[in-house]
Parts: sequence; structure tokens; C-alpha cells
Amino acid sequence: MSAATLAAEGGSSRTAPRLNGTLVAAIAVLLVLLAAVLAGPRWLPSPTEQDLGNILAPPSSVSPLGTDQLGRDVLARVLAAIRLDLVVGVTALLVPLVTGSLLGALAAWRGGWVDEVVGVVADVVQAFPYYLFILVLAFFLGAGLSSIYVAVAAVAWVSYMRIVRAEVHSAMQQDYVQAAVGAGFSGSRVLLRHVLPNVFKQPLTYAVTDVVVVIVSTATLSYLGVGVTPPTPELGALVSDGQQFVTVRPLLTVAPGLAVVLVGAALALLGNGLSRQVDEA
Amino acid sequence: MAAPSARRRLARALVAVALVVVVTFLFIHIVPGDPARAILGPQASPDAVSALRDRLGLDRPLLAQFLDYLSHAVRGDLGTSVAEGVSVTSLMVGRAAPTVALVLCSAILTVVLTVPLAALAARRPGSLVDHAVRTVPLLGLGLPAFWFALVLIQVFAVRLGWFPAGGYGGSPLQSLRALVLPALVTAVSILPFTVQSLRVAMIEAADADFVAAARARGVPPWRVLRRYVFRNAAVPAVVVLGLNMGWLVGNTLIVEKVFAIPGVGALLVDATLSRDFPVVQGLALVIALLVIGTNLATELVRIGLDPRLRHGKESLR
Repeated sequence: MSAATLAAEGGSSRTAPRLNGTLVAAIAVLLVLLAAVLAGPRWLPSPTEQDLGNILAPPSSVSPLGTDQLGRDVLARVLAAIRLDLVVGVTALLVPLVTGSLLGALAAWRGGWVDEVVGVVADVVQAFPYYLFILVLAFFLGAGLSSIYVAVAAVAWVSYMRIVRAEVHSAMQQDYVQAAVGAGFSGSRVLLRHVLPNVFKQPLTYAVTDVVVVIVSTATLSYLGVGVTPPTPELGALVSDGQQFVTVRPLLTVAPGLAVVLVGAALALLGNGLSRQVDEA
Repeated sequence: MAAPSARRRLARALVAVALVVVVTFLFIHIVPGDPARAILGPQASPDAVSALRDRLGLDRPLLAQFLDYLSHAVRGDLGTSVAEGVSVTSLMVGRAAPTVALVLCSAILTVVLTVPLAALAARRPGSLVDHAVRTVPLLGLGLPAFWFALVLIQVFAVRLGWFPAGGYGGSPLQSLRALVLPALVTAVSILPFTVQSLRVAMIEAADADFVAAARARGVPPWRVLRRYVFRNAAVPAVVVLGLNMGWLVGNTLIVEKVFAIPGVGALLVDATLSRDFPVVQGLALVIALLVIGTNLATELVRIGLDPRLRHGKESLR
């Protein structure tokens, strides 16, 4: 059980127009966010520029979200942090997406002991709660982005393995695969040329939802002090920074947290909408 | 239970247990460089480092170290905390009660929230209510537990004063009050998964012939839902909860830390931050074994309750 079943859950055709509405809304929110993240630095001060004469300032026309305890512009920092988290969320998943999909295809295709070995290793990885695994890795690799990349690569492949394994399994029952095998094509050719093109959409749409999980865990680790280290703006680190001023300037804690929720909601809706489209196609 | 699929599950769980023991043992050896140096940090004196090397037996052959680790672990000896000088097992036992209470409260709250939501959605698949129930928890996927916890503390503890801002203890009633907000955070974090699965299970149960038969006999709709659909969806509900136990336990690490609950999760986070290796290793081992145990028990219950699974094909998780 994972976000896979959550995202890959289809709707009836009667409700299709409304689903497209969600998809459009999700894409619109993401485009606005992207525009803000890319254009923001042109209008706002640098996210790391300090102004000690203007600390913890309330929102104004110059700093729409005010300034933090070092006089840095909060909006600029939140936008820079969204950008960082999005980049981490997407790039960290590239390796597990590929390794998981390949292992899943291999497990389904070869079956037998290969399938068993891959299955047991996946069980072991899943026996460690996600945050425990990441924390332990952060313990060894030290705080920083590299721990997050390694941890995600070590954990996230399991979902893709399970998805692709199931997809390849059902593809192998299909006539076009049987025909390709019957025509005498080699196993690797059938797998790469006939099966994979028909099963790659499911892991990809799942990855969109998975980005949310990576972003939330990056923020969580940074909040705990084992993720991204200051002064780099990261959403979880910003929440942790702002926490001590929560009674004076709640915005310092609220804004970065809401940013995670907003990014997460848009991506989750996008993933959900995409997977429904894939299922209906 | 001599069903073939049950035996296969059991065998697989045993292999997983063996691998978990090996992996937790190897934790310390995957670090590049000297593990003792990694634990003590760059400021430690060479003497302190070599003393710790001695204490952890790091200079002995790997196999001897492993056998040592295994024989101690089997006897319940998980080493001694570097920071506190107390045995890891006693630390863990001392901190277990709040965590067990938190996990139980979260599980109960999850069921209490999941069942009506899933029933509401499953009643008319494709309706507006169904859509709302399926979309809103999806938004919760991006809700960071630590931030949600901070918001709840600000609103319900600091402003309204309904619940304590953190901590645990005093009378059982006080402890229970202290657990309301933390349990809510953990429950909400797994709600997207549980609602979705239970909804599917209920729709499937509602499609069954005996439900159609009951309807045809003129049994009122809510009674059909309660008597026929609910009962048949109860098993999947328990299964979903069991399989999500790992995720739930993982979230308690964060939640305990934010709410300052002196449980195992907070202990693990603190041990990581203070680089107390034996504590991290011991807790990782115990938690992983518990998760494997819960998953196995869940699978066995499912196989035991569903005759179709006993001999039939593996079902996909």
C-alpha cells in the first residue's frame, strides 16, 4: 500500500470533465508558482542579503512578507526555497525511478529466484520506516543535500519496482507480447521495444506524486537540522528559523509551511489527474 | 495455518529479519573512514577515538564482530549508549510507554476518521461527495507533519489552551489529553492512504452478489451498508492499517520530537543529532523487526480470513 494506489485510482468516464478541471487547476497553480520562482529574483532583494537595521519588519510594499531576524526578505527566501525543494524533489527521484523500473521489469520478466530476491530486498527496505531510514543515513553521511539524494535513491525505488513489476506481469499476458515472443524476438528486445513503451506511463505519473513525498521529507530533515544547512533557504529550515519568533511574526513560520502545502497540493492533484488520464487512455 | 501462501509469507519474513540484522550491523561499516571518528566527531582526541574503537571492538575481524553483535542482540543486549552510558535496551524500555500510547491513539483516531469518510465516498461513487472525500486527503499528502503540529500547537494550545503544547505524563487523563494533538497529526498523515483503500474495498464489497441480493429483498440502503458492506470491508480496513504501520511509526519520530513527548521516536531523533550510534542502531533494529512482525501478522490475518487467498495466487499489495 502506498501513494501508488492512491494516484493510480481511476474514475468513471461520467466524471471525466471534472477531472480535467482538477488537472487544469493543478497545472495553473504550478505555472504561477514557477513564474513567481523564476521572476521573483528580478524584483526582490537577494534571499541571503542581510539588513540588520531592518529586522523582523512587518509586511510592506518593499518586502511583501516582511523580513526575518537578519533583515532578509522573507518572500525572496520562500521563493528561493520553493525552487530548491522542487529541484531536489525532481532530481532525487531520477535514479530510483530508473533503477526501480528496471528491477521491476527484470523481476516480472525473469520471475523465479530473481523475483524473490528483489522482493525480499524491497521488504527489508520497507521494514525501516521512511524517516528512520533517512535519519540513519543522514547520521552517517552528515547533514546536507547529498544524504537526501542517497536516502531517496535507497528507499524510493521500491514503489517503482512494484508498479512496473505488476504492469509487466499483466503486459506479458497480452497478445502483442505473446506475438512478439512467438515471432522469435529475443527477450531483451521484447522487453525494451514492446513491453517498456507500454508500461512507462504508470511509474512516471506516480513519480509526480512521489515528488511531494521527497519535498516533505527534505523539509522535515532540514527542520530537524539534518537536511539542508543554513544559510541556504529551504522550506523546512525556514520554518525552524521562524519558529522562535512565532508570537511576534507568525508569518515567518506560516509562509514557508503554506508553501510546502501549496506545492504539494498542486503536484498531488497533477499526479492524480495524470494517472486518471493514463488509466482512461 | 498450513496454507502454502502463509508458509511463503513466513519464509519471506524470516529472510527479511535475517537481512535486517545484517543491515543494522553493517550500518556502522558503510561509513567511509573510521566509524569511531564518525561517532565522536572531528574534535575528538585520538585517544578517545581509539578507546571507542576498543569498546566497540572495531579492530576485530568483521565476522567475529557480527557474531558478537548477533549473540548479544539475541539476548536482548543492544549495547550501551555513548552519550548516557546506560544500556540501549533499558533506555528503550523506559521510553516505550508514550510511544505505544501514541501509536494506539493514532491508530484508533485513524479508524474513527477513515470509516465514515470512506463510507460517505463509497455510498455514491463518482458523486461530488466522493470527489471531495478523495481530493481533500490528497492535499494532506503535502502537509508536513512538523508544520501541521506547530500550527495545531499555536491554535489549540497557545491561543485556545484546550490542550497542552507538548510533553507527556502526570495522570493517565493528562497524558491522554497531551496525546490528542499528536495523534491527530499522525492520523491525518496516513488518512489519504487509508481512506482511499477502504473506499475501494467498500465499493468492491457493495458490488458483491450478496449485496445485490439483499437490495433485491428490499433491505433499506443504510442497513445494507451497515450489515453487508461494512462487515466485509472491515478486514481490508484492518489490513490497510497494518500495512501502513511503518509509515505511522515513522511519523511518530517527527511528531514526538515536535510535541516533546519523551518516547522512542524522540529518542531516535536525539540520538541521531547527538551521534549516539548504539542507540540509533539498536532502535533501528527493534523498529524494523516490529514493522516486519506487524506486516506478517496482517498478511496472515488476511490469508486466514479470506479463503480465496489461502491457496490462490498471490494478491498484489
